[in-house]
Amino acid sequence: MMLKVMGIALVCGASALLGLYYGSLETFRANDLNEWKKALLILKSEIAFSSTPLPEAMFNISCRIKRPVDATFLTFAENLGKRPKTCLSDIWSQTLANGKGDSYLVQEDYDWLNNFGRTLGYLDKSMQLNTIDLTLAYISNQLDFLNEHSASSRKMYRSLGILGGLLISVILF
Amino acid sequence: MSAKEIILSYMGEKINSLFSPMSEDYFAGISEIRIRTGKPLTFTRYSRERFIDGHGKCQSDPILGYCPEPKDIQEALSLMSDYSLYAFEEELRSGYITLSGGHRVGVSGQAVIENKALKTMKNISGFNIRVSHEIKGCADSVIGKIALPQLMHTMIISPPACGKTTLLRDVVRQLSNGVAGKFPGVNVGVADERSEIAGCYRGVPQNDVGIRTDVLDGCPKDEGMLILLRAMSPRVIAVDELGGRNDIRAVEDIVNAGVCLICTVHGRDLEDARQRMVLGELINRGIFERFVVLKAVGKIAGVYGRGGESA
Repeated sequence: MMLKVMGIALVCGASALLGLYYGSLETFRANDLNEWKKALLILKSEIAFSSTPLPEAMFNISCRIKRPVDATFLTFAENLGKRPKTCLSDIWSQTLANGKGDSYLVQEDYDWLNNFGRTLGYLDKSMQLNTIDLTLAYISNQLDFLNEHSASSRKMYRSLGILGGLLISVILF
Repeated sequence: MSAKEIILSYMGEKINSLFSPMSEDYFAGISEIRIRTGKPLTFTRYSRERFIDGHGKCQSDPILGYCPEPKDIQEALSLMSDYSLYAFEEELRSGYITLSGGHRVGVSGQAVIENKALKTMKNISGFNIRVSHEIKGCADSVIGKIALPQLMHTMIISPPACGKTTLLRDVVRQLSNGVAGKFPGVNVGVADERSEIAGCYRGVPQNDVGIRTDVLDGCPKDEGMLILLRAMSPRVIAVDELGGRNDIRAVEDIVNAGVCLICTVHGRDLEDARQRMVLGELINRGIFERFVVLKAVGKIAGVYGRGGESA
């Protein structure tokens, strides 16, 4: 009997934690998107007001934003500092791909950021600022969507986790 | 870093591989490299035009020269602009980019016009890389005539590409540092509109222009001379290629303020310079006390006084 109670508690606990984790994923993604938004706003002002070259601008950004997004900018700045002969968008994509493990962004976010990377560096100032605005608009839309839906989905995942744990317990025990 | 290492660090893989086998000594003689899309890669060494083939061998026949592809130009432009073309809009508008080491890259391509003014350049198709050559001591023979017994307003007259900027740079360096046993160093202001004298890269002079020199980089000459006069209290102001109508006003202000002016102008000789509208006016007013005339690369034809007499 004691073992059964312990088993039920374990299954219910694990399932509830899983529900909590999945419920929080959107919050984590919103946090990452917020950092990206902040980073792009800094980049925008670096380009608009001081025409800072990308390696320096990327390094400045990495000093002013939080983990894990700061690592992407720092790595990108370091890669550019090595003066590689390869295409800039390839370096950007590679840097983004390497940082995927620490981030909660989804594939759609990466597609947008990769597209943004394809325009980096070879446009004039006004066009460069336009592409930043476009990416910022996407991030803002996603953040609005997440703000509207994350509370309800968090509640749903939490309930699913607890109820799922109870269901498994009933079936097993 | 040597000039070769600096310049090649701005080239794409292919062009880099062509110049890499060249020895440092051979490269040091190069004054100009011209890269044009689809046209033979050219360089000028001791006034002789040479071509480089697809295997990195120097040729004298243009047919054998390697013809750069658009990709080569794009790679070089990306490296020269630090992957940030937007940060070089001002430079592109002026038609050149200054690299670290003070080397200047002239750029040709398609002009973008907005409100009847040049906004920027796109579809860049060619570069003219002018290798910066700093020759310390090239002003040794004239510095005494400029600085002694007191500092004198000086005009360096020279045909194009004969080394007037190189001479001016060394004059600035020596006036700024001073010459032991002859005269002490003084504060020098350099209005370097085209980044040719100090070769500033991100505002920092790449050439040795002396320890008491303040450089105003990229600013129009006339405005730059007045800013230096007001802000930096120099004893000497140096400027390259004087001759614009607006320059006269700035020259008057400098002379009236008791600051010494050292400038360069284009011309075959003193008489040729005197025939020019703006320059002639300045010369005939007797402002300049010394005229240094160059006749060929590094060759000084003579140093003359206010009335054209040999000094």
